[in-house]
Amino acid sequence: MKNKKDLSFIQKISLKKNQLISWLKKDSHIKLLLLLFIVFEIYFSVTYLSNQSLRLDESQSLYVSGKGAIRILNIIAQDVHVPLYLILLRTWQSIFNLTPLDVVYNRIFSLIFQLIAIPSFYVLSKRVFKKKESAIFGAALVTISPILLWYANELRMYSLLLLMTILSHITFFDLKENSNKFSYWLKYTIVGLIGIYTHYFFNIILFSQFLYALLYKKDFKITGIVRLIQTYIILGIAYVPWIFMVITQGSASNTKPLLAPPNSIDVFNTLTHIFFGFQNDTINTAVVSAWPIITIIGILLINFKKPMDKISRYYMITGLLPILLAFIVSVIYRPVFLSRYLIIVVPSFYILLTSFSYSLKNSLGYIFRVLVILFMATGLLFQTFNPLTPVKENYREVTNYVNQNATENDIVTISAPFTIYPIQYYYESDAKVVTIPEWELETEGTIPEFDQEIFEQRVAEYEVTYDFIYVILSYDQSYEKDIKDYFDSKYKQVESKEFSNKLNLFKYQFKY
Amino acid sequence: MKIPFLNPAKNQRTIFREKKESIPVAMLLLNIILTVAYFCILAFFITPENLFLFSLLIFAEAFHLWQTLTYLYTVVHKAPTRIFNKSYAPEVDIFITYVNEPLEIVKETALAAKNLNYKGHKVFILNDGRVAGQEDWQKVEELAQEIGVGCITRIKPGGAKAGNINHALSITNAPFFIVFDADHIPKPEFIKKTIGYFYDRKVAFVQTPQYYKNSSENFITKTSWEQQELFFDPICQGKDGMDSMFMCGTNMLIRRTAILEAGGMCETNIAEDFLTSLFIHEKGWKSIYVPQILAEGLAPIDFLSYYKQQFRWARGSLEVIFKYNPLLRKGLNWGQKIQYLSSASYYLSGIIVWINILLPLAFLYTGQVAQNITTMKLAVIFIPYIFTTIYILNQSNNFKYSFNALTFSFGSFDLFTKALIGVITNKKTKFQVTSKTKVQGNYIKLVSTHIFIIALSIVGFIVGYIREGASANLITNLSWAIVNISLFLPFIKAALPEKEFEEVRSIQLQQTPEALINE
Repeated sequence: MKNKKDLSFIQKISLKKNQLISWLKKDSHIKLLLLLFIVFEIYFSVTYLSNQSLRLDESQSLYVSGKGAIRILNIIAQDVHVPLYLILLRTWQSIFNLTPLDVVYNRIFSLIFQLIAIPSFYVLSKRVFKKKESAIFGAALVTISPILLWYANELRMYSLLLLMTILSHITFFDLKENSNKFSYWLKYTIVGLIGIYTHYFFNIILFSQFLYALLYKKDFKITGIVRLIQTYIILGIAYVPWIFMVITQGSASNTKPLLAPPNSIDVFNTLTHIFFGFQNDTINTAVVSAWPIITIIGILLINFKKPMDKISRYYMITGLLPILLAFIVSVIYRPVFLSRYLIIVVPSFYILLTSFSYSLKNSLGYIFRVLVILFMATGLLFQTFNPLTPVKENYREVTNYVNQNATENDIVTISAPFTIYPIQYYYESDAKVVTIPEWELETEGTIPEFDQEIFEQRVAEYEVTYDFIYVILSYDQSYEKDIKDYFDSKYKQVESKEFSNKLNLFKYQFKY
Repeated sequence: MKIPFLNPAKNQRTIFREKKESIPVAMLLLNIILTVAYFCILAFFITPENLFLFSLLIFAEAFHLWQTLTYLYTVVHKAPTRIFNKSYAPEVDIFITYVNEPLEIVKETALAAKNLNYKGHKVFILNDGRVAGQEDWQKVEELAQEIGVGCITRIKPGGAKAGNINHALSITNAPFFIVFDADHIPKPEFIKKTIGYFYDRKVAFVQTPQYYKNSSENFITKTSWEQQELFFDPICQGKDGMDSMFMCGTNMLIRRTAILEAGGMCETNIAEDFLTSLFIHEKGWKSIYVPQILAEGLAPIDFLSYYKQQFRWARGSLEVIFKYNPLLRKGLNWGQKIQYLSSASYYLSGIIVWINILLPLAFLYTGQVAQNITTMKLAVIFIPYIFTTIYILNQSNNFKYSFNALTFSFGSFDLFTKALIGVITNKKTKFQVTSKTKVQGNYIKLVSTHIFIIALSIVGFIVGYIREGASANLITNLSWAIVNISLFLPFIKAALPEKEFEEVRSIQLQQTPEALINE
């Protein structure tokens, strides 16, 4: 048999072709199904999700990615995130020459990570369950998951974070089995490196993995533990420049929304988001209030005829520990408990859900899986088509309304100030725009505190000059009510519209 | 006629875990902390809303706390190392109790007993057929003669099975005796594996598991066995560690002097074995549990038999609480008092399930709640508690307990409550042998309470919805009602007639199922 080196170029191409054909033929139905999942994901995203209005966080991403690389690093260092996604987004925009208003094409960048996550999760599930059917069910969950589809179409780092989490689970167990092989260690380290520069919460996954390795150090052997420590040292060193930058830049808080410390409801909301997506208060209350049904699942767990295996324990740790840590940090240090940060637990919960469904007897398991898919699909449809879905931020419509109605004799006020980020992309009116408190987008430093006296002074000045004032309120920073109460008490309200959940426009008349 | 015994099940068990795996201390502590915390938060830190419902809730939760803690207290104990003298070989009498069981079964058991690998044992069939009014009671005497074993036929009735054994004790004289139910076929090594413990002169009896050979026969036998497994594995092993194992009516080897000192088998209680054990322990005797399957018997094969068996056990055990309360008995140590009380109080769970059912229904119909607590706060304290408890339950039983076994315990609330009422009102109950052959029938009447509760929940949901729409409280209480109903369903299913029912009919039970239900 000829050595590969001795083959001609044509022969090499032919060999590659044959390899490709045989790869495609093997488990072709599985590949076809995964392809269908991906096609569905693209179709649903492009048709219904990626053409939605820009949201605040996304507009900040676009604003930052429009700067030079060094400026991006500076801005992000002052923010609460790490810079990789925005650097990559900027590269994406440069390659395809995109402007911030090419919202759909910009969002496709995030979608790509979600599309890769589908087969990746199949691979992960296959490794866990050793069964194609279970793995396909797992991949189906990732495909129709409302929360994942939402972030697959958001100009933020969450779909990349999800992908890195899945790859980290895969490479972690690869490393465990092959701790003496450099290539496996390298893959785990590279995934870790990308992960930690995608989101700070990725560190919790690494921590959970290390904790698991320590719990089962016999399985990892000394070489495995040493490899892990080597990785963490390298990642620590790789973090040093960034940490240095964060410390030297200080915190700007321009883009940080005010978060309340979490409570028990937030924990359950996060769990419902993972399985049913973001729903309006009525639906969410119904879903969360049905928590006693979990008791049945708990009792059905009695039917597990063996102790929880180590793999399940791993996913319990990587699923629950991040929630617990985020909760504790939020209570004792500063609020960071957000469902989108906790997207890192989604793969673990979907693995556990798949595991549970296949532990049930044939018919019961089948019914359970069908119900799960139906509930998730229903959640996806409600989340997508319900205008009051809480994560929807229809800044496009509110701005279009102002564009059509406000004249140069009117003034537009926006609060919270940072919500000017999305509005600026759609704004075409001749009316003057100000924020409450007053703040310029390009101003360095923090947004000024709200001062009732200054606010009333400013409004008094506007009253002299303008006929109408348009007040756009969203992202309440604890003074939204003061603003609205003041306008209601002093001026005649001539228009009131809610464009999406907690995004309201009020029009008041100054002159009669 | 189909006799399950002659159709042995596949994959028969031969032994329980000889060496128990310890529950991790951290897990155990976590479970205790969560259990106590859950109770304390509910009882002391949440404002009551409706005092009556609140009292019921706290009563029920106190009972759950008692059950969980006593269960944990039981399963952490292990049997100490015991003296076992292999050469100790005294004379042993073997009593096979008979009332109305099929002769094929009795024959098989008697032959197996006769052929036990031991020198110095005599076999007696204790024939209660005559006093029970069996027309063909003499046939068992003929059978005994045919296979060469003794037969003791009672003439004077009284004391049911206990009376039958006491009568035999008055006629026989070996220092030790074994009791087998007619359907429990001993293995050849039964005596050799147990008699050596009696070298310790303080040992009164040795109990071995009551294994159901027909466990794979149908849904009821399977679930009965799964319930038994929880008892005969972690619970009995734990009791053994506290010298609190009690006799279970069959597969037990007993020292004659011990039982005579305790006044013979107790004839005043239908759970005679349980109460007699208490009297024996009171006198300072020791007991031993050998977790090896040394005899194989039959599970109740139809719903009616299961129902009657559970009723009998419930009635006998509850009577112990009310008439012979272990806490007030002198001679028992505290471990034994708690063990007897926890075993007997299991049957009080009937009224606790009633409370569980009542609380959501009360909200659905009246909007009244026990406490002023947000549903999410309740979830935060309840879910970790219930999940760790279930995990410990599963782990302690080597992951053999099942959902159906739990639902059978839950679904038996109605019969446990009837037994409790029977004890309180002192209504007499006849001792009835668990049928060894299947009785066809539709026992839907026996689960009519369950069906009524389902209907009540549906109507309650409509009433609640009209009153306040889909509020958080309504959905939570509806969910609790659904949880309760889900726990009834396997029990209701068991009461329905089987689809592929073979043409079988008890030879002994001449009454119709309806008549039996009425009785």
